[in-house]
Amino acid sequence: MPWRRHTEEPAEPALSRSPDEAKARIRAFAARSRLGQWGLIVFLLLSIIAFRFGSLFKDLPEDWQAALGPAPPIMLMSIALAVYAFSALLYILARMMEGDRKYRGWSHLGYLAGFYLFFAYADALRDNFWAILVAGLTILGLEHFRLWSHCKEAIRREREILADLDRCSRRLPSDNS
Amino acid sequence: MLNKIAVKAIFPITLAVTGFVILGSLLLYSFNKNDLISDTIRHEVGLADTIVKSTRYAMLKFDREMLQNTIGDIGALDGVEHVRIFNKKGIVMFSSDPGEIEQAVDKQAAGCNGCHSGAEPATRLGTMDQARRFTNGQGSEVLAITTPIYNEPSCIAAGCHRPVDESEILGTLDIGLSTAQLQNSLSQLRMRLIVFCLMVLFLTVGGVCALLQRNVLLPVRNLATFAESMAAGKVDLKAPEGIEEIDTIVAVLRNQVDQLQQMRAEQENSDKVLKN
Repeated sequence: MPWRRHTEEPAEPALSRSPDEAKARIRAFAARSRLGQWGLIVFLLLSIIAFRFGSLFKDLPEDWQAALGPAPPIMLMSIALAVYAFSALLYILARMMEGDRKYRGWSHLGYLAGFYLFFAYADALRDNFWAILVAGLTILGLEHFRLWSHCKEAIRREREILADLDRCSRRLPSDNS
Repeated sequence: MLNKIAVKAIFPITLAVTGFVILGSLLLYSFNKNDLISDTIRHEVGLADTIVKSTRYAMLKFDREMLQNTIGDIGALDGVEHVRIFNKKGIVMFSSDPGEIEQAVDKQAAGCNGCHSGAEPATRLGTMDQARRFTNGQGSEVLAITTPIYNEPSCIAAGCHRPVDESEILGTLDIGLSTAQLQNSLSQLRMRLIVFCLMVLFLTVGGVCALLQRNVLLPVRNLATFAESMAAGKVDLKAPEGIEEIDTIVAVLRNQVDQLQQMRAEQENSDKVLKN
């Protein structure tokens, strides 16, 4: 069964960690939660480049264009974009339920850049730019939210552990006395 | 606020549905726009062919006056921006704008370079390749069709033109129509899609929010209030009910509180015994 119930997972031996370890984990989770932001920023930069220079393929020398061959039909590319966005969103929602901790936005950036390239080569980027932009923002936004909420939850748990460790360390000297 | 269950449950669904509905609408608009433009081009190509056929007799009779009047009348129709006939050298022979007659056109200009881009001019073009879009001097967008006027045996018989194998094309007809009607249809399509998008979003996001609120969020909030009250010592409160999992948690909570109270009572009894 892919989605395990919480009760089936073994509890972490949280109090066996040192405060420094917990702080390091908080820093690591905070850094990881910002990955999605970087993915969105890179995608927006990519979109600006595509919007600004998307028509450059028309100016390629004829022998280059002949070597590259004809562009795929625009209709097929649009259908591929819709199918890709649908399956990517379903996949992200499924991983959100599973509690997957990996950031997979970089591969989506690659696919979206591919769509920009193909539509630009078919000289149809002007008509389809907003569709790719909306698809990218939705997919990367959801991926960012997935990782960010997971990291926020992990940071909250680590802070609780840190507070428990702090309470224990304060209690110990009084117990000894 | 962002850690609340409502945000965690509703935000991803809202984002995914909103994004995909907007993407689908944009792609649908793009498909419909291309279909509308293709239909308009096909309609214009048919119109251009009709003009060529209807002026054929005047050409065979070498009746320049009738030809010029026909072109002028067609050019005066609503939505027709220009109609002109070029000869093979690119000189305007007949036009709805008399000022253009005898003017030469650059073969690299839009509408000409489709055939004249190579060393040998192309004699056949696909339907979509005959069309071009541009903004005219009055600032309105024009969709123009350039259609060739082919040489026929009857043209040679009239004694005006050379045989077909020497000269396949005699000239071209260029007709430009205003795209105002097309733009109007596209604008209506955009409005309808926006309204459809808003309705779909309202139904799906609103439906998901309402169901989550009724079946998950409200019972969980009631359970949290119930647990807090029990922790504060109020044990006679009405428990939230109607959902199996929440009923189980309430039963466990009640059981725990009962055990705790029993332990306290035993502790108090043993304290009393010890004091006595």
